[in-house]
Amino acid sequence: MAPDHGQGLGTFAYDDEGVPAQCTDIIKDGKFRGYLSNRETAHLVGLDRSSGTMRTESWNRLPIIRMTNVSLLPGTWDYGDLIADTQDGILMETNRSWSIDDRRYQFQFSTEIGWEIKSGKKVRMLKNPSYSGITTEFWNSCDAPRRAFCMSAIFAASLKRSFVSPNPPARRRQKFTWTKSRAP
Amino acid sequence: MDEVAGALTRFANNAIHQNVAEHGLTVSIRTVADGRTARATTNRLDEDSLRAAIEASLSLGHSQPKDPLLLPMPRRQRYRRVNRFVKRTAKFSAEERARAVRLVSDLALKKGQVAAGIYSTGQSQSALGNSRGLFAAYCETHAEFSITMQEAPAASWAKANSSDVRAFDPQKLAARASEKAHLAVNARELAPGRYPVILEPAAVLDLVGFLFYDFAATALEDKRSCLNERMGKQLFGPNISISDDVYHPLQQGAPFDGEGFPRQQVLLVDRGVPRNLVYSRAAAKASRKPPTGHGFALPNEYGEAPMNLVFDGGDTSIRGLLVTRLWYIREVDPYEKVMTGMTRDGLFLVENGKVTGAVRNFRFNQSLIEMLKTVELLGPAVRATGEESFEMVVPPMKVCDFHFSEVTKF
Repeated sequence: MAPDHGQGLGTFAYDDEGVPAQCTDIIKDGKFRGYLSNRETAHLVGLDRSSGTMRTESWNRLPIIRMTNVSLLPGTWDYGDLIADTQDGILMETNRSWSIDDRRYQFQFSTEIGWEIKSGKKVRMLKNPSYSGITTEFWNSCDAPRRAFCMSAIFAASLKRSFVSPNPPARRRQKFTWTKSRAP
Repeated sequence: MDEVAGALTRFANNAIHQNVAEHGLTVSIRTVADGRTARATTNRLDEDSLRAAIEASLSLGHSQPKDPLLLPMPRRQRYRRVNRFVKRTAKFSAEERARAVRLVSDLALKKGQVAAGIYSTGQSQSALGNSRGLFAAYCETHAEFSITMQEAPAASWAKANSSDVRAFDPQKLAARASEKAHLAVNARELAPGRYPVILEPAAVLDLVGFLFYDFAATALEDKRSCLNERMGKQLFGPNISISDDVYHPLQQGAPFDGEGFPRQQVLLVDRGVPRNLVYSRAAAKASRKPPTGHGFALPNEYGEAPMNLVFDGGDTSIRGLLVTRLWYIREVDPYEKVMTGMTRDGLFLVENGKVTGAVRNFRFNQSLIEMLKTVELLGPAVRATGEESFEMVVPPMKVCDFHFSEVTKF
């Protein structure tokens, strides 16, 4: 949650309980830090106040706790250096489908386009590559976070018309499963 | 004009935590002027507000480009009668919902489980008329019960809906979910691979629901249907026949479409061969076919879709790897209709005709076209409700060769 990181699609000043928007660490230095909360549940998770994430879809709907702007903070690598440093990998761009289990472990995302990386260079183009894995293993395999932010906005299917803004810089992961939909 | 009066009781941790009710009426007005059309909607019913909505629609229309394909509004039509207004459902009270939830919560407590879910009842009516004399009206009641039963670390689920609140029994649904949750506690891990599966109706529904927008004539015209180049060919197994039939006793919905045109019964798939599409008036004219009464309200970009699907069923008692339901189903390849998603709320190994234990949930990557070629057995068709698709009448299916690509941790 990052209102002080600039405008995002999910930015607001106060949530639907009137609690000011805040920046809440969810993961910090690789460790789980805390839950999103509202005025009713903050004390249940050991907080002194609500994290200001109680949101409603419409004037005639009860608010629930939902994510707002979910951001991965950037690292130190330049995009070109990420590629140049990779001996054998795949670069994927533009997600086009998303699926994850109901406890958010096993996921599969498909993308529009990819490229094989060999000895630090983009070579063969790939069509509709997908990648899958177990969430905790996936994020634990990240070894090179990119310096700059990539601002992007998606409509999360589970939120229907609510807005969120996931802001993930490009990252490299050492080992995970990818499948090729078909070669161009 | 649409009026909805509904009530919802939500429960979690074996207790009701919300009981809400809503009554609303919206008036949606479409205008046509000089070959341009637009629509404005309001829920204010005073004369000034209705006039303002008309003016808003005309103003929006003025900003639209002329549509050379825009047809005159249809004239007066005749409709088949359907009766889906059940007084018992309309009168179902909050106390009755609460009593039912109390009974399922008591069951959960007795079994050391945790119940969560919803129980909703209500009624709706809609009326559609135009300045050329068309008038259509429809009303129905609706009731739905959904329950998730948890017994750590497992869970299971059951859901039903109908226009008649007496058509399902929340206690029976809860008992079924409770039994499966208990059975799923000690799930073992199987290796990913191809397995014969038995898909319960909810699992069938949420998968095949991704197929039916492909039967829209506009989708084929736009070349975004998996049926492009495949109509009239043996695409599925000969035991697969599907129709769109709003008059089926297990279906719901109005007998007219978004323009007030009467809904026709359409045989979409005949013994595995896609035979017919559905057509809005505009798509019908472009294709020189008769309209089938499946158009969406104008203006829209999609044209039409079948909304009352009925699969032919069978009468077999089925054995295999039992799938309760599927989750987070998304399209990987739109032309081969490869879908991905997860099993959820109970995946059981069936050996020698008996459930022998639970297994950990899998991710699947499966072409629906290939799946419907390898349906070995069909059970009786029932009204199914899920989470990814609108309700349909579908059978449980045994599929010979279902592709589970990866396993998760629970």
